[in-house]
Amino acid sequence: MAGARLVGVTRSYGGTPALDDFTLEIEDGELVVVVGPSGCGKSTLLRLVAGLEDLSSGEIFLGGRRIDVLPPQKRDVAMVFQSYALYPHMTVRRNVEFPLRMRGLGKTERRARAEEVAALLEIDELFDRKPAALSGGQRQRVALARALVREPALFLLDEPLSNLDARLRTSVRQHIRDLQRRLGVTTLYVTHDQTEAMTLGHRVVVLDAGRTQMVASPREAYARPANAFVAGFLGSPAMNLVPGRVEAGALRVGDQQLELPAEQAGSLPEGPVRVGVRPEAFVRDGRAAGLAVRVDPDSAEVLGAETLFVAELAGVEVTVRLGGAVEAADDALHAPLSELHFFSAADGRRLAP
Amino acid sequence: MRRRAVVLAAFAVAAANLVPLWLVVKQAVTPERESFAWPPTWLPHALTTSNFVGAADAVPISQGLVLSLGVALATVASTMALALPAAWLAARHERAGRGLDGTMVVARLFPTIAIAVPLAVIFVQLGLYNDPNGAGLWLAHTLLGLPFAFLILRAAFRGVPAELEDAARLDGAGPWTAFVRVSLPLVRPSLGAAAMLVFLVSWDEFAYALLLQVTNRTLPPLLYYLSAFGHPGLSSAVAVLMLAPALVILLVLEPALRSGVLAGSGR
Repeated sequence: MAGARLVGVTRSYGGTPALDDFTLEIEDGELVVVVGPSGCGKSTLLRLVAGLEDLSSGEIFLGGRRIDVLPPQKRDVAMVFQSYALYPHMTVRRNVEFPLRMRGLGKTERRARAEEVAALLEIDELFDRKPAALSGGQRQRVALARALVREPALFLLDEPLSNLDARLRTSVRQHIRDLQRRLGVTTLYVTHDQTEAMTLGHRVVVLDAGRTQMVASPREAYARPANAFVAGFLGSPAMNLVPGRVEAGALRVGDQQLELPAEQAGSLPEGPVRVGVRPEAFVRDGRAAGLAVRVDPDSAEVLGAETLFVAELAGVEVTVRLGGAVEAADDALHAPLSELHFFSAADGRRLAP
Repeated sequence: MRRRAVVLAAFAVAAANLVPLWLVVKQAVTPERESFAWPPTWLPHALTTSNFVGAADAVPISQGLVLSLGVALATVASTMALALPAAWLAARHERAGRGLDGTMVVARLFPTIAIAVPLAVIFVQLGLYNDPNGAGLWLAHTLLGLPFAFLILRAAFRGVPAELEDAARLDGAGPWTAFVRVSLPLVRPSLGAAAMLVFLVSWDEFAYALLLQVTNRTLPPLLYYLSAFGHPGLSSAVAVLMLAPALVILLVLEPALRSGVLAGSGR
């Protein structure tokens, strides 16, 4: 087991960087989730760490050893591919034993270790089957077993859940989480799914267009997104972003005007801002000052534990989330001032609080 | 109605292939006068081995058989040795693939017979002309077989996800081991098909065999001589010898080549 350190890792294709100056320290035993939309550079990041692509510049260390100059087989890094990449001509047993075979382990030790990891992932009964005879979830577990069997220093997961159906995804997600915590293996997990990012990682790295947008615990990234991109990416439904203006210590959104408390007014520059409101920030309570919304009563989507509404705020369509099954929302809904996020209208950077 | 038409067409095609085949086999095992009998006979009336003996007396059959086999097997070996890395490279690296594609197409562009004459001149200078072991013919056949093997194997390697090789690399295999342990077993059916095709290309080849060898002949020119000099029985005997490998391939190896190895690698 070891921690990993990436310093200024950059990868360009014909001048355009797919990953730009990526720096990250991963602690021993930590699970870091890298999340971003497709094309953000997250898969490139994994391939660079794995050694399947060469860095344009930067350095990668694993357990104090510099690994970016080593070929993949010498890096002590294991990876689970999005497509699982099981060897179709080998039985499950041979698939799982393959990394041990490549390390020259004897038959008895190979068997013992393969059986140990198979028991962990509950695939021992599938040992004599070929991958073609397995279900998607079973293939996924075999791929995990093959990666874990040799106890790698760093474990890479490339969208491991994206080929599973929704129901299976939740259980496998918890399984991976448990497994990682139990084995304490340092893990870099790549996904485009913000739910996985929120639930799995000790920390998340939000990536967009090859650049790191934010590195924080999932809770902090959700509570205090570093910029408008992170705000819009984490959370489902996404945070509402509406245009506003700060003028003379007051916030103006559409035709509404709110007096800002002194300390908040002080940290916000005068002029246009983007105001962020989480869908769940809207409350019925009429006491606190806040932004009022006009809810479209016909838009109710009753999900059981919660209900989603479409509403209008400053000419922008926003999503409102209320707990429980609510048939109709009254007009008195508003988002308290303390629940608002402020981002720069120019570059999306977080302004306050 | 439509189905019946398809069955009929299939029968017609089969007959077009099998009737001459049957006549050759019949002619090889019947006396020569029966070959010229009128009305023609469909079943042999008298069986004989005299055509095989006669052909062996007329031309060096066993020597030709050994040479044909030797050249064909050597051609298969050399063609595979060249085509495998080339096809893998073309499948994995687009730019290299385009160059190789062009080369292979150009290699197939010129008629064999037109190249055979200048090739003979070059081989005379190199001392490969009429080589008793068929070395010159082997080289020529390798050039001939290479594009076929390349195209089949490139398609096969394209069907093997590059991620499987990546996975093998991360599992601790070097590039060569990843190729041998993962990619190669997965293209085995195509490898077999390509090897058979190349074998038959060499086994069947006439123009180079006629022009590059004068005294040490392979079977196709020997058959041609017997036929050209009016011995239908003797040439049929050689023809039957030449049919043997095709039948072996058809009956023994073909069922083993039905694909399906790639199922289950991914989701």
